[in-house]
Amino acid sequence: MNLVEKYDLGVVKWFSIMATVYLVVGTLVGVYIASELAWPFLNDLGLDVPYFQFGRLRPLHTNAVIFAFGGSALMATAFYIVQRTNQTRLWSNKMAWFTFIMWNLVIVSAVVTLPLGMTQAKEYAELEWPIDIAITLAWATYLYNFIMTIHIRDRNKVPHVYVANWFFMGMMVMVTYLHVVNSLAIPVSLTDSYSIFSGVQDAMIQWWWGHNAVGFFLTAGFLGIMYYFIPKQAQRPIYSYRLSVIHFWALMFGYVWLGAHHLQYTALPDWAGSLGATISLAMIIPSWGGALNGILTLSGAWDRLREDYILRFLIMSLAFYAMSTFEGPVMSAKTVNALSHYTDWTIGHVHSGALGWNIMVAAGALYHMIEKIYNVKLSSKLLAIHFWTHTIGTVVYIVSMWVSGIMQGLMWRAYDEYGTLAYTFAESVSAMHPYYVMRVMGGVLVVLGAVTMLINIVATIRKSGNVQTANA
Amino acid sequence: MSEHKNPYPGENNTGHFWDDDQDVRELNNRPPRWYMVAMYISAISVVVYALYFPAIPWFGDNTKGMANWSSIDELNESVAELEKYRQEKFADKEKAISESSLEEIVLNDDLREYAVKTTKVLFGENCAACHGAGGQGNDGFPVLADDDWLFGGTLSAISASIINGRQGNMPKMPMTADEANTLADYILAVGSGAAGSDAGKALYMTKGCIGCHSPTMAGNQALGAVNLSDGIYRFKADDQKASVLRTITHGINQAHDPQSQSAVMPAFGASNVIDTVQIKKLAVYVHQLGGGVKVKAVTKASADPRYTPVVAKSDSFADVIAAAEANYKKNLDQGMAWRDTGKMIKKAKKDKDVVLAEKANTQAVNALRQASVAGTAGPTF
Repeated sequence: MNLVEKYDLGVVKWFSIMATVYLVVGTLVGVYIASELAWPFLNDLGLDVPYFQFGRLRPLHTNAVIFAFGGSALMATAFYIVQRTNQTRLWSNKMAWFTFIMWNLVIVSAVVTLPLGMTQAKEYAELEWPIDIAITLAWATYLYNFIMTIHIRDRNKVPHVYVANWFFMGMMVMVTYLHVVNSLAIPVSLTDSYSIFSGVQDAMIQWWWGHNAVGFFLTAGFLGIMYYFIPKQAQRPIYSYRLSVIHFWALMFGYVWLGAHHLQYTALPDWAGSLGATISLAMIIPSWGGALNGILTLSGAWDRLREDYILRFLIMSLAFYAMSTFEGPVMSAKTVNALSHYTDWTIGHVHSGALGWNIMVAAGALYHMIEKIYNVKLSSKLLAIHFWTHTIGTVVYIVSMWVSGIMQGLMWRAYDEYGTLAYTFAESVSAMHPYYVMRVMGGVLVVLGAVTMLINIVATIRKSGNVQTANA
Repeated sequence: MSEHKNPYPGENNTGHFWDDDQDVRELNNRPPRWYMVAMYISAISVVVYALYFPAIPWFGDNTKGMANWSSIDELNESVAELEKYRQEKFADKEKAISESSLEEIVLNDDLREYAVKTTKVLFGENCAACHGAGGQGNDGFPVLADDDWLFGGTLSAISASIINGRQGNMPKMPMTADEANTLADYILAVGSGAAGSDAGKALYMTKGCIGCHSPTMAGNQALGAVNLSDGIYRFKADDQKASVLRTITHGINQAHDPQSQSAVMPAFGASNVIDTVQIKKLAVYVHQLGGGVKVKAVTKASADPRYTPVVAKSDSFADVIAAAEANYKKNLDQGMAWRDTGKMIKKAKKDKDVVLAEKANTQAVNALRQASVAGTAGPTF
């Protein structure tokens, strides 16, 4: 039977297309704000308006890539995987469309309110309370629909729940909890509110959320993607069931503790900071479990990498994933944190995860789904172009931020022969310039790759004439 | 489909199959041994780290850890180490500075050099945001590296500016728009070295300007009244006339007029960031940036050829401009060129203006002196 007739795929298609569009938009805003740091006149353009200032556009960039792109990719893949691995339609197709519309309304309101300066001033949770409520609605329906779809499966036909679904469920439950608690606030007007937490508690709650936006939204959820699409694309069984159980539970129990490592050497009590660092270091091996299981799944099929660019995206993402889940814990160790905190190294680390892991694994998954749903073959030439521009762009980005960040950290702590600081802060800023320019170039490559992806997908679907099936 | 036949005979899978093609499945492999060993080590390391550092909240307090570590102790130890180093090496110099007058410090080569070299970052973090990294000024913020002073360039005047801060004060001048226009033209003309209109001069003499700026337009440092005859503008603007007009019609620091020019320097004596020795050092540092009023003996020029100024062979335009260009090139080599010097040289060459050429040369020489003591502005690797 045709996939399109068997499942509710309309909403999957639209989430996939929108994810690709948001990838282009989000990375483009990223390149613009990176350029603002390299060439400050871009903040203002002589227009004397605040809307393009770095401070206004930066949350737009992060929200666009994490929640617009990442969220849409998670929703597309979750609704696809849950149907296919449970052999059932969605519990409610209507509710899925409600989620789609709500989620996109949230994104549109972010695009309007953030440049206008309406913000809760919480990193990765900038959106004001009415939008937070809309997010909660979209997210709760997503969660409920997903769980109900698993619930209504035919247990004779599918007695077990596939591992990808565990990761999605874990992510959805935790993100609901984190989002609701961190966004608790007293509204004073439609566009303004005050967090119900204060002082260091507010900071701790914020980073409990902030790190788990990474830990659950961008790690657990995307591991769910990895667990379905790598075996499908490679046509190989998952290497080890036992490994997936071990690292699933280790991740679920470990990740929620890490937030405090963002607040070492601050007003946060020392014990909380070192507890965060402790669990962070212990998370290297559980995190690697996913990368290991994915990469070993390829044993006996390594030759496929030679021709299959979609598989290359998926496997390369695991290499970056393993690298950045090693780097993060290292940066949370006190001695390293004393150097790396507040520097560009942090930015480089985040992007090795976001560009190297999230975008690559999501791109592989989106490509795979488009080929299956529309029954088409994407242009392998454009796939190759996307793969290489994205990989090179990511490496350029990360390397420039490593150099810049470590240099910054060393300059800030450098003393001269008189025992006085060797550099002013402004000198460290001017020393960053070449690396900021380099970062812009890396970012431009990523945007070019994203545009190639959009063109490839849209052109392939149009050419195939399967657009009608798409709307079925 | 566990009860069904294994569609992948001979494969060591768990017997669970998913997806339409029943092709999603898992193997029964054990995780690699090294992985499990690392996992156990991780678990042990959590315990060790948590016992070593303060990590567990405990009845209203928390465990202190075997290392007896705390972030505030770490900070205090680092600061103590630094203080010890400074004490061992420079306690005598710090003491000498705290006990010497500013003039004594400037006249003592050793002390002056020490004061200047230990003050670069202090100046950079506290003064440079307004006055520029080399004291070259910014629009609305006076240049510290020339000899045009609002409140005086003696060591004591500079020190007083730093300790108490400065507030400019000029009332808005009552006159018609036409009169203000004529007066602004006159002031700009005199600033550029021309005579200016008689009507403008009459307004200047009768409308109350001379009370502060004096009949000769030389200003009055006791009042902080700017010298109007030298063409140096504190409120520098692309449209200089509009800026002068604004000052005439709205004054400076007139609280109830939002158009009034703002001229405020904070009082660093009241700050708990900078102590009295550091204020002394800053006064010496600012004094030597270029324009400080000389203290009795003349300071020796540096012997380093990179910093030795080229002297014009004669007062002719050709010689002066050649010297200015040579000195400016040295500035560029050291990354210590002032903002206007290049433009002034260009304009002087275009207009064959010997006065401007001399001014450019003076700036370039000052920048050289600055470079010789302060090093280059940017970091080097």
